[in-house]
Amino acid sequence: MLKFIGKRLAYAVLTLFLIATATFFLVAGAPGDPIAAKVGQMPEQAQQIINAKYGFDKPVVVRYFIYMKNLITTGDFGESVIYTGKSVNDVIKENTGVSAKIGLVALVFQVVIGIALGLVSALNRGKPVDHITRFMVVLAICVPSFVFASLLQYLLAFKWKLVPIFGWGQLKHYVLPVAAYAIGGIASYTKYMRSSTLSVISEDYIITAKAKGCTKGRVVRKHIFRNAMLPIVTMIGPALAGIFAGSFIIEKMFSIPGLGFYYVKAVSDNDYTMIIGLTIFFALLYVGSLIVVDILYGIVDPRIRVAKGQK
Amino acid sequence: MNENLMNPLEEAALSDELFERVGTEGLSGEDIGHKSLTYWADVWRRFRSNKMAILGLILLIAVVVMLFVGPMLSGKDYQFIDASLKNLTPNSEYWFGTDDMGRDLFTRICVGGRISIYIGLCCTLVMFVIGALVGALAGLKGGWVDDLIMRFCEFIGNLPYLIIVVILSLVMGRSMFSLVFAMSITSWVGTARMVRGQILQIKEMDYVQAAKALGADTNRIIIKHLLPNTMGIIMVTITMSIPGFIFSEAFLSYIGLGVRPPETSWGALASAGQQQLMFYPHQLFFPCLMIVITMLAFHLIGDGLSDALDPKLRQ
Repeated sequence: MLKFIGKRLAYAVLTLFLIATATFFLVAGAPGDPIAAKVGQMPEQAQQIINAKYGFDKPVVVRYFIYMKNLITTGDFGESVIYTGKSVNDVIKENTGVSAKIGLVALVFQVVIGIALGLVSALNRGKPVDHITRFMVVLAICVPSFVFASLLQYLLAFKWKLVPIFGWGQLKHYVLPVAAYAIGGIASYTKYMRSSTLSVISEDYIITAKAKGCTKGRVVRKHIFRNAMLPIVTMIGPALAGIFAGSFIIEKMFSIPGLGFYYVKAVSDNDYTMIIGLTIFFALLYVGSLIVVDILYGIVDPRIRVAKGQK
Repeated sequence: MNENLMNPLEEAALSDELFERVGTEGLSGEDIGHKSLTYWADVWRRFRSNKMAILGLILLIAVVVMLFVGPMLSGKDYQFIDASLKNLTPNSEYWFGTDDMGRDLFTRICVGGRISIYIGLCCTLVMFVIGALVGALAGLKGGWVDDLIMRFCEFIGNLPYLIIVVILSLVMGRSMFSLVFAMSITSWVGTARMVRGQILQIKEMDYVQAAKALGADTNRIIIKHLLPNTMGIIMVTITMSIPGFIFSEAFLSYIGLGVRPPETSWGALASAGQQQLMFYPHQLFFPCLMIVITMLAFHLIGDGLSDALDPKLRQ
């Protein structure tokens, strides 16, 4: 197990290093010059000072080594090119929590509602409940999340004035973004839970349980539900890893001050250091969560541990 | 029948004629009643009997026809700006209304849809070609080639997809090529894994062994056996990934990294419409409607295909 974790960590560090390097050089070579836009009107000397401050007077390779040295030794992601004095670390510190909160709340809704709907739908196979659920699932999968978000904004917030259109801080601000974020996930969890339940229902041990005289509630709770949950649990892992990167659009649409919001903003502002820093941080979160999930699987399911250990 | 039972005496009326031998000459029990079907004819037969799948196919054809015939019917130019016709609601002259620059929304949706579908197809093609080649290479060669390729796939699978797409389209500028490149560059990993798995499985099948024993060379085995047998699962993936790419394009357009104006796409139209939502909801509604119909069509077709190709459901 320790060997497995060690190997996984080594890979992760290598992956992150490659991502950081690639991102740095890619963004350095991107069209558009954020500094030029900023210093355009300033006198020659001021331009030089600002260029020197961000290290733009040095060649890319030298800048890369300075950046990596700072990043590895002090964990410093650098300072925003557009908003003077605002460091990438500040943005990360202040806004990661917001993204995590909204992502986690949405994930909980997705899993709970999805599993419940899938189970109900499968147990009532062929009945109206099942047909309605399946129809809604197809519909929800076919609607892009930003369309659904706009629809919610228009109806609930604009027409009926039930909740604020956007904003952040209070409980009521969670309603729309969480709903918009969760809908796609609810649909896919429902879909998978339904098919998983259906395959469990036809297993021999369900017939055995019924033959032994288990009540219907007990069969569903103890036999069907537990076994149908297994494949769903393996889906939740990657979903956990995707929490931070999943909410770009939702954060932008509802002006939620999360990481995704700042990332999209940095992209449209061409904010050089912010893009590099946040990309590396996103990759760090993603790769980190993948490892945690892998290790947890190893603990939960001994078969996976053996298979991975042999590889 | 009843009467017979009630009057047993009438049994005597049964003559020997009734018990003559019929023989087997005139019967056709040994004939093949149905002409033999090829694999794909069989798949098509089962696909055809699936009402929802056919609905999907009809929807898709209708959308594609509309995209190409639509601009001719409306007789408008998708770039023509008329400041006096801003933000019109749908009417007999402008079927889907006009946008905030007075351009005909119906024509724009048709032209934008072509680009959306084109991007979806291109990305899927790139994904499929690279994925199938790499996967086949790994599956067929095995050994260190397989190891290397799988390690590389693992590495790419560890990258957050959305971030890569954003960074690449940012770096490469806004062009059709960069868009397709950014979206398909990491997506082939799944296809490669799937094709590799399929090939590893089929390689061990008896009929491949038999072909080898009969002296077929590797090329023949690939073309005659491996390719046709992996086609099914690949086709399902393809139908399912086209709408995925249309989604991604819509997302990129939404954050301002999609197609460059004056070109447009459903994603770009939807994101433009989203800013006008409070006052002119139709500008968001129509692009979204088209996205939803297309998604629905592809999903229904994909579901139908995977049912039709599923060996468990075949008789």
